[in-house]
Amino acid sequence: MKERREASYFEVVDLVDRVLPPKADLDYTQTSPMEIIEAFNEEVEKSGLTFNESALAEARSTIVECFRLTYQRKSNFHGVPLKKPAEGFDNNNYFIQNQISLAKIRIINCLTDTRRIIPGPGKIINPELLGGNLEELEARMTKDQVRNYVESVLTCSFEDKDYFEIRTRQLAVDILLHFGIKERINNSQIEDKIVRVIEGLTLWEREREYVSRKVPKEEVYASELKKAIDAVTGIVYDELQDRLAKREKYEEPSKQIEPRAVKQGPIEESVLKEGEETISTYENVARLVQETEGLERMLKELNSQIAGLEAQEAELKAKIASNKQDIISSLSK
Amino acid sequence: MELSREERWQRIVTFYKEKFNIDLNNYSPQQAKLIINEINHKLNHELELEMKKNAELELDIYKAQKKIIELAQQINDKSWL
Repeated sequence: MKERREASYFEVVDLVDRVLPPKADLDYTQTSPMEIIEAFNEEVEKSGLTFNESALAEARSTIVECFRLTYQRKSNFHGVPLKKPAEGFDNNNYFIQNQISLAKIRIINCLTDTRRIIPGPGKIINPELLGGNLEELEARMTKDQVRNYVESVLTCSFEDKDYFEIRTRQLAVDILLHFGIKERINNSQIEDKIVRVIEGLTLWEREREYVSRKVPKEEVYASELKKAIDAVTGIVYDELQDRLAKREKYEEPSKQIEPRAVKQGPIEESVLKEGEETISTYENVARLVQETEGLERMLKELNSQIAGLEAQEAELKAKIASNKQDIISSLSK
Repeated sequence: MELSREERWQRIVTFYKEKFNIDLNNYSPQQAKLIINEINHKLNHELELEMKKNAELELDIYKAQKKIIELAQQINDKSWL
């Protein structure tokens, strides 16, 4: 029997991607919730990963709830009854995309338990900065790999480009989840940045720039798509670098030179002299520290004398003033 | 009597073990040189700070002694009144 092991963050992300749209093979318009749950169970079994049972139960109920809110709904977002439930994945369903993204985040969270995820060598770093195992993340996040993934998510033919209009936020969330940048949807600057880039892919047509340039639409679109891929790659890659840099601050620097069993060669004269300098400097510092202590004691004593003399002077002044008063009084009699 | 190179090195190694808990024999000559440089740099900095502190204290002591003389003079002047 194959030994099961705990899932890493990115293994969970990939597993959830296989079960829920847009990457899942299931046609959700023709599927029941139970079939989705069976597909989920099958993927978990095939993965060889072990999960907490209550986390799995929560993941299943999240899937059912998501399905109920999306493909099984009887009315659209504004409450207008639909002619038939779940009118297709592409059918004006910004709401559906949001619900699916929310479900994904919820499922990934419960299956990974991010408070436990420890990026780096055995230290609990701020889990908000990175959602997964550092080694895995580093393996995923060369600029080429980021570009490859972004390209796979964003690339679609000119004929299907309108697909982007209803899926911009879903795409942004999918990209971010893939790299462990876990954000709440609709509340994230980086997500908004990516959404604006993707939205730009659909806006160019409205500006009708291609008409005046007399260039075929497909060519213009291909060029705009490439720009979008470059832009999103840059955004994601910079964000990852930034988070890695922040994460490194939490590590205790192990800059000490590790001792090795090395055969000692002849010691240079300069090293001997510097070593002897250490001894004399150390002794000088120790001597100076003693002198400082002596001076501090002396200063304390002098200040104490000054305080005594000032008190004496004040007493004298008061006595003189009193004597003067007595003399004046006796003279006036 | 002058010490041999070996004796000099041993003296340094013993000193580092006692004062800094570092065994220089565990490192290669290059590494040992780096460690010694680092420690000398820190010690020289400490020495500078201590010298500055001493100089300031000496100045304060001089001023305090001067004040004592002035006060004593004033008290003396007033006391016959």
